[in-house]
Amino acid sequence: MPDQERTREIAVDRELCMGSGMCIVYAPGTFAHDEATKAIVIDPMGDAIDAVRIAIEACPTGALSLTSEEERG
Amino acid sequence: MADSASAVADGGRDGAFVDGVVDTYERVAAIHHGTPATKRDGALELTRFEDVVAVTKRRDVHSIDPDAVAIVSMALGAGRPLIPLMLDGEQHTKYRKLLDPLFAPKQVARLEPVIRNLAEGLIDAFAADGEVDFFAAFCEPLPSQIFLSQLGLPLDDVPFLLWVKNGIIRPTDEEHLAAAGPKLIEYLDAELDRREASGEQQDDLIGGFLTAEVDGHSLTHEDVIDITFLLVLAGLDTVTASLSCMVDWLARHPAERDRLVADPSLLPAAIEELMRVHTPVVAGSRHATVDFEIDGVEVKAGDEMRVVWAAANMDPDTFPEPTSVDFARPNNRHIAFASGFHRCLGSHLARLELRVALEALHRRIPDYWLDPNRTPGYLNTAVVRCVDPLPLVFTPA
Repeated sequence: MPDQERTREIAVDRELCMGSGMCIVYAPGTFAHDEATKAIVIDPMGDAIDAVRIAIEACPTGALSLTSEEERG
Repeated sequence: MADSASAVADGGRDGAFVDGVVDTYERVAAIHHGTPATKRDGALELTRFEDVVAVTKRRDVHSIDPDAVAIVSMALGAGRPLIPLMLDGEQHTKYRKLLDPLFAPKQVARLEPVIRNLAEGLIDAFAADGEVDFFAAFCEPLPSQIFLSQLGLPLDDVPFLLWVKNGIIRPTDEEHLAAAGPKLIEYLDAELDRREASGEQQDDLIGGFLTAEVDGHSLTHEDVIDITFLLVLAGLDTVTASLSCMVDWLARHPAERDRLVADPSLLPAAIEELMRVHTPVVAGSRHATVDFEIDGVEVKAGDEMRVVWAAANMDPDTFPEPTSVDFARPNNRHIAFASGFHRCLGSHLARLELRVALEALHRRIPDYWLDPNRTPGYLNTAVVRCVDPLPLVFTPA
């Protein structure tokens, strides 16, 4: 099923993030690590929404959240 | 390398994990026909995927009862909590913030050529023979050599460290179990003393721990020992076990194996699916610090819980048709690396080793099957499931 949402905002709590890199495993088009090995969002639309949800769920510290999203279909 | 609390010898209900049984899928999946939360051996056993994820994400659920640390870790170490496995809350987070970047994707990616060279060298040693105990010749040496060189321990010590690791995870007898932990402490202590005496800083993980700071303080010798102890256990066993389960399965499923041989780009997804169905670390322990309710069961502060990763990964509500091995399974959320705060620290290294190992094997030895004259050892009730020995036959390369 193709993604049909038009906007997506993903927040990273840098204080909670411990650099596990789980998000990069599940949504490599969306997340990366910066120089401090903290998660950053490189492209909020970089992966299917399911992959982003799994990445958020997989974060060991709960540092990621989907803050806004308009889904259609 | 699961940073998940001490697993249990019998990780399932009603004999779901029985030594010598090849595929436990049906048995494990059958757990879900029963009640999702059951008291067994004084611990509440959780088997539903959503329950396991929810419980392991609670800040008020810890990995271990602080009062039990001394008892548990006497068997495992110096009577102090293993770091970060037996820490919770802020202490745990501080150490994970130090350790996770060392095992982050970018860091481990640099090891790919090293792992490939080692894998190819190990295969060279038996490729002409047409038969091999793949466990002893490949599954065991590959991750342990990679890991010891990362830690900065001499490769000559591999046999000793494997003896220690087996003594703690699969002891041959009481004596083996009793000797292993203290011997490892003694060995690590001597290593740290040697480094201190030499005065030079080595560029390896132990060298990094010795210069690291947590809360503005250097780590003590004890801290470094408690971290390294856990890494030795994790780094020397879990990839070995996973790899043996995967190669055994592929040896018994030639059509699926041929697909991977023909198209190695399928490997990452196949590895995830094989991790899901084999889940080498069967279960973890958790400790409630407050009262709460799950699945209609009252949990009281102080109660022990057992989260069964292997069962959660066979939950039909999360994984439709859980017993079928589907390399194209969409949205594979398996928690073979555990879930929540104590999620495996070394999963990126593990995934890389598994992929590079299978790539190398399939390039050199594309057709392998179980040796009809020798019996593989399906060790399902061990803390970590593995296939030892794993006797294979193949067309000599």
